[in-house]
Amino acid sequence: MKRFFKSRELLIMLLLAVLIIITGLFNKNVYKFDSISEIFNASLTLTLISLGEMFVILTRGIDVSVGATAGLAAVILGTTLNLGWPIGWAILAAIITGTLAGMVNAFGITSMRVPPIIMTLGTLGIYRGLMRIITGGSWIENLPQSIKEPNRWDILHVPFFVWMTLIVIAITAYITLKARPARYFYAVGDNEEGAYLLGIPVKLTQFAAYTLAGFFAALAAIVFTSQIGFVSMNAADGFELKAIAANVLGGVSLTGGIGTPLGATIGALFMTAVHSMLIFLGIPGIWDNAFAGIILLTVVYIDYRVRTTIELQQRQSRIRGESGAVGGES
Amino acid sequence: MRKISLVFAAALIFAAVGTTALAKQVKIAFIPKLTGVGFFESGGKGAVEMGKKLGIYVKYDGPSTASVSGQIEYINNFVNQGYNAIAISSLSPDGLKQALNRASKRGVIILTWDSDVNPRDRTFYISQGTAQQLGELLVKMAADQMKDPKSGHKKVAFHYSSPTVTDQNQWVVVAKKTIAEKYPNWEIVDTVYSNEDAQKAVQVPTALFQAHPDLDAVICPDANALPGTAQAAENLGIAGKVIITGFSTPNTMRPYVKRGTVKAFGLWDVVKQGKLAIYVANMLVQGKKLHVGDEFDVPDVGHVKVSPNSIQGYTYQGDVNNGIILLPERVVFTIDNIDNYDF
Repeated sequence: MKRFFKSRELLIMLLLAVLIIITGLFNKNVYKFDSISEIFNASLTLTLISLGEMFVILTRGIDVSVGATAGLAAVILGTTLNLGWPIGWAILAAIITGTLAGMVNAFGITSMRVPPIIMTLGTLGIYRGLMRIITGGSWIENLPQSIKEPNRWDILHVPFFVWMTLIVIAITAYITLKARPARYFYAVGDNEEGAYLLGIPVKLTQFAAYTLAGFFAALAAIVFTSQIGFVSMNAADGFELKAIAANVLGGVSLTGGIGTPLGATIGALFMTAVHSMLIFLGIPGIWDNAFAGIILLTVVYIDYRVRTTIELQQRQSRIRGESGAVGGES
Repeated sequence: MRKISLVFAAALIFAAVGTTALAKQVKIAFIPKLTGVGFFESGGKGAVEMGKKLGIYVKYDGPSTASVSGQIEYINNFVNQGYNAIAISSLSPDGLKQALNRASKRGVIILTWDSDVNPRDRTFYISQGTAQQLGELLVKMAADQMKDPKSGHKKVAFHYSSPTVTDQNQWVVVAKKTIAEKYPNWEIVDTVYSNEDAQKAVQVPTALFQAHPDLDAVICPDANALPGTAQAAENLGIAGKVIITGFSTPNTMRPYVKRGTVKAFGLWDVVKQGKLAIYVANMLVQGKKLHVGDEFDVPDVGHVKVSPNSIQGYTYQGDVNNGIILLPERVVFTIDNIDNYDF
């Protein structure tokens, strides 16, 4: 519990709350339940992609093809739906596509020993290229209403997809915290050789991480297609960098071994909320990207200050010999 | 970079095959801002159709992401392969200057379509309409849907891709000026951007509707922004209660028009724009000299006229084969006519 209060997750949550409260002072419409609920709703695509990316970053890897993977899965979903496939089969096809795309990365990185950034940059191009080859370069339009229907379901006034994502997050969080094999991701990212010496299947763990990234990208593609209603050729373009940023923001360390699904989720939520808040604040749209960047850097800086202050205090208290038990990895 | 070079390599291979097969024929390249967008694909379709009709070879190809350097690569490439003419939708008014001048020196005829360059660097600009015409059309489409546009306090907002997109920005400037002159009772509450990102194109108007629950109209002159705004309204359950209009393609907007979320939106027939560009390009390749004021008929397109560059606000005007050729008409799509269009 003590660890949670020192964590990046809590800090980002507090900052998000502050951001919403300040925005509300200027435009009370933010405080409406629907406004908050829609911010959650808008963040789902990024959240799901970020969760997948988290597994890769935990193992000290990087995957810049997740946006393209989501785009490719969305194209498969849209194309099969327009061919008249039942929605269940189309969704299954999209999930298989995403998972296979992740496995290709996994194979290249673990078996062919291609560095992750090179491998996934390559597949980024290939998957985006495949999108064009499959569609002949045009948008997928006139999707059947059945795929948009889930976007309108709500339970207790909260959209269905929000519930679905919450359940996915909960399952992921439970597994990463409780299941022993899931701890392998942390072990591999923290110290690959050490993990190997301990008998942890390092390659298999890395393989699983990239496969999961593809699987989660496919889930994101389903939400994306349902919410947007059409698939453009630049669908989910740039989401790979947003997902990496969301992870860093949420306390997932790029050097591997540190981070939680909750962190990745809150990071994604924060990244999305910033854009909406600027509109509630009535700040002209040309400031959008600059503000998002400033806020991102501010958060990371505040986090750094908080961390160093805490460490300093711990060191001082240790020097004074008051307590040896306060420290610990954060 | 890898993505670009892959596409480039593929283009080289295809182009090489094309060259050997069609050695003596007239060859015209039709370059979009980027491939993979319904609008440009449709323009390309029109261009290729006109090529078949005229018995010449027309190649539709361009960069897969909107990048000036990508367009330069394509221009150089087509020039090196001995194309007779290039019609391009430019990403930058001046960025292509050197590549285009090099092409002209080697005898390649340069035209622009959809998005122009400096008039010194091309022969004709095949225009969808002046900024004045299109900006006014945006306001008219919104006003026509209001019961009483001249009275009462009306709140409107603009939503398009980004302030750096020249043509969209020009239309919005005109539209805002038109509102100030004709409808001083309209308040422009916000102008928001979604950077051609489909996810943002839904998120941004969602926040906009929630920040201003009493919004009367959203004007969206962008292919992503218009369907995104319509989708946001449907998600929030306010479809039909707020006026959503702008520019996008009929195929993208068809479901929203059928459901009544969008009652009217506009565009020009980009298929015809592609046809017109190729027709004019072929005239010039055949050695025809066109002067300002000349008029002629184009099959499938209609009667067109050569206008001076000044209608677009330029001061430069060449004596021969220089100017602007406007598409004869712009189209407002409604539930009554949308099924007549397929692009």
